[in-house]
Amino acid sequence: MSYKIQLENITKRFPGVTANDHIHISVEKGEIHTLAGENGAGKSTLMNILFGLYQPTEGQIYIDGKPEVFHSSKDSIRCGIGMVHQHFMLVPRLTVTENIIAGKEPGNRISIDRHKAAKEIQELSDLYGMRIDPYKKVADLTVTEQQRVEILKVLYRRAEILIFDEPTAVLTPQEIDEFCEILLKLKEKGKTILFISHKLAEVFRISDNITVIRLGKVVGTRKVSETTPEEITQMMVGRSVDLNRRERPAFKGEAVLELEGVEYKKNKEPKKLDNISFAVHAGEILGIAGIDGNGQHELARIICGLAAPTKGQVKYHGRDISGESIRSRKDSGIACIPEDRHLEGLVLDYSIENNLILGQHHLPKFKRSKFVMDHRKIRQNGLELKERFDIRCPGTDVTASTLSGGNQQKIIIAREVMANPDLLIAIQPTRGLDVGAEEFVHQALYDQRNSKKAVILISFELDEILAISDRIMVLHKGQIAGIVDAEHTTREQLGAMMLGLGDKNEGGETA
Amino acid sequence: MKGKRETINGILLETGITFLAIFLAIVAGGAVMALFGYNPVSAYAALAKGAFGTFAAFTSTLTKSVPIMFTGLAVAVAFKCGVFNIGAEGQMLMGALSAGIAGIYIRFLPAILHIPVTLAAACLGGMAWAFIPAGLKQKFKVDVVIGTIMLNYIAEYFVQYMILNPLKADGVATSTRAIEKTAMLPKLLSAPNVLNLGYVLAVGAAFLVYFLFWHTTRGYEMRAVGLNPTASRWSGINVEKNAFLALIISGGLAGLAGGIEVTGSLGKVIVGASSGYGFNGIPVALIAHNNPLIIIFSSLILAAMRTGAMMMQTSAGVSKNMVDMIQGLIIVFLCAEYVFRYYIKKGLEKAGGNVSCQ
Repeated sequence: MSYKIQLENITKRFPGVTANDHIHISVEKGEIHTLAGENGAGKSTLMNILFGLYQPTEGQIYIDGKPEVFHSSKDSIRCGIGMVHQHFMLVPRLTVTENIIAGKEPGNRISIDRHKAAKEIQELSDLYGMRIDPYKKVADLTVTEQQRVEILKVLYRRAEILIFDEPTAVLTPQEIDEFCEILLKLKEKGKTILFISHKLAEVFRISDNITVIRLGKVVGTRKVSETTPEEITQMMVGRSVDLNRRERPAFKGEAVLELEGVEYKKNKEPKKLDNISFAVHAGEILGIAGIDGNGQHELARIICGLAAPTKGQVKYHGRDISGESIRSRKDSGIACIPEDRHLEGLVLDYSIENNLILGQHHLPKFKRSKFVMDHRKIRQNGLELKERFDIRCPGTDVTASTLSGGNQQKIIIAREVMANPDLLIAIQPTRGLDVGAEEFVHQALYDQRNSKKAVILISFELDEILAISDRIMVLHKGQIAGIVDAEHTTREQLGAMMLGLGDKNEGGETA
Repeated sequence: MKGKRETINGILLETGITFLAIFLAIVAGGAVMALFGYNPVSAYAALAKGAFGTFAAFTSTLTKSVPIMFTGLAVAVAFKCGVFNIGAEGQMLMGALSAGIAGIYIRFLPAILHIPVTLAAACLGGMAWAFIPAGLKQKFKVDVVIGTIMLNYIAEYFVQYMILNPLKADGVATSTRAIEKTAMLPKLLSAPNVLNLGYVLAVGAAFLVYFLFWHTTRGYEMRAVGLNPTASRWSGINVEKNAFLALIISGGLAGLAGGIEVTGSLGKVIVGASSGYGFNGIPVALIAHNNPLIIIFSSLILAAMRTGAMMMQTSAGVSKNMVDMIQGLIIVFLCAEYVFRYYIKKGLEKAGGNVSCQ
């Protein structure tokens, strides 16, 4: 019994629900162990128990074979456990060193020995191959570097066990590669790593073992060398999911949306979009790839009508709509799945049925007269869409805020698809969703395409773009780095274009 | 947490917490009274007796609740749409002035026409006054809170000037001439009881606002804008237009508060015709969580404090100002209520985790 971490029989009950149900997990020293499972499966609860944020209802934690009880994260940190959260907890105005030592400052009570600390941090980062300048301000760091600061924070506290909660959600493919290397380095130095993720590609690259949790129970633990992504997915979802499907479109129709020389800039800032010209045709999914912040948001806002281009035209069915309101665009068949469900997609305190008509509430089918709404029809519409889109909820009259992310996304998709749009723009539609919900979203996009509608998918995840787009347009610094045919393009080519290295328009046609 | 329903159940829970806040305010007010050497029990008893002790007192409380109900509705309409109208006081005064002018200068009109015309004038007066901050917001992005607060002072002194100069009654007076009898709202009860048609109009207005919020497309949009302006904009709702309209409707309701005070109770415009009714609207809307039907009752609380204050002063010897202090305490506790709720919610989350229905 020389396990580094042993979770015996861990059960956590919350009023009305069992989040963790008799969970057994054993992790050896120097192992990378992945916890996989859908959102709400109980992974985070389990990790919060291990980190001392929750106390288990039943069960026992053993660290190095010794039984331990964690009343708070203080106890777990003392046992050498550290957690790298998905959302960074850093103070942007302070330097790397200051952020790392906060709460554990070296020196006497009055002054902090910054240089000693910086030196120590430099040594630590060199040891694990994380190039970082300890005197830099966190505000000036990239996302990857910030993540390294988070990791160093944990290492600085002499953690032997590191918990990573979906660490790659915010990274680009190249950054993920580097991140994986750091993890392997950590492992090499004898650290034990628990890794929460549902991106199977990287899970398979670095893990030794994978434990799948579904509905609070362990479905099973597999050695990576003895399993396949298909098996893991099936264990996660409880049924088989086709991961790599791409039916070629049988139909490519006329151009639905055309942008001509669109430019966007705010006051004296540099151009956010520069000379953007492309077309989306009926019956195709155009993927827009690029690293976050290269003009995707502005492009989406311009197409949906939330921003006006400073130059150029937006044509919809051949008609210039640059000056039209959001509502008139929606009414003429442009639908949008915004990036931020909570902020842009839903009125969280509205009931599900009210959210299901948002943006279409003014249409005659939901009204009794010019001004009066028809609650019966709204309810009926809610129930129909709940059924059709499998929105899991106790009733359509509960507020949208009570649903899980996947079900909230279903509300938005149901609503936008119900409008039967000619053009659907989906911005990061699967962000934060689990495999099952992701599949649902992708299917909805396929369905649109297959019913001869135009679809634009903006995503920062290359795998998603590659898997479902017909054509891919890459944005780099507000310009089109290239438009390529998805079938004849590799991740690497796209990655290079995203970084502005690629040849333009290679392997594909311009629109 | 279990699904919070957008129905009467959720509202009942909310009001439960509100009652706790009011109760705590009363206890704290009592403590302060005790500190100053008064007997809080007899003071509150006098307050209650003054407000509800006799049928006449009760009707007087009901009458006092009318302008408060209107300003409460005014504040609620704006709040619901995410607009903070702190200017109900000024809009009410402008409404009172407009009603006074229409009541004094329009003559030989039968009551059946004169009353609606006078009230329409009051409503328009309030709307016009709200139009200024609404327009400033729309055109120049001037903060509505600042705009409405500042316009209160302008309205106060402008109305005072109008009362004391062009509209002044003969002799030594701090009021305008009396309005025509035909502009006066009919009384519903005979002396010593006081109740006029204004109460019916106020309750009617509450139901109208309820209908606006929950049964019209406009109300759907306004509430959406109040809850999440960003999502509203993405969905094609014109956020600015709705906020503008909400403030105008709000001003109209506040104007009616003034108009009904003039045509129902005062019979003329007096200096200090409002005496804080506009500001009373804020706690009234807060207590009711902006629910127009609950405002019918929450306005009664503040009205009772006003009518009961006199009795408290004469029979228990506690200054009327104490009542203002308790009002202040209620607001403080109501604001603290959000803090309570935050901790209650946090406590539930800690115990309940993120339980969502999968």
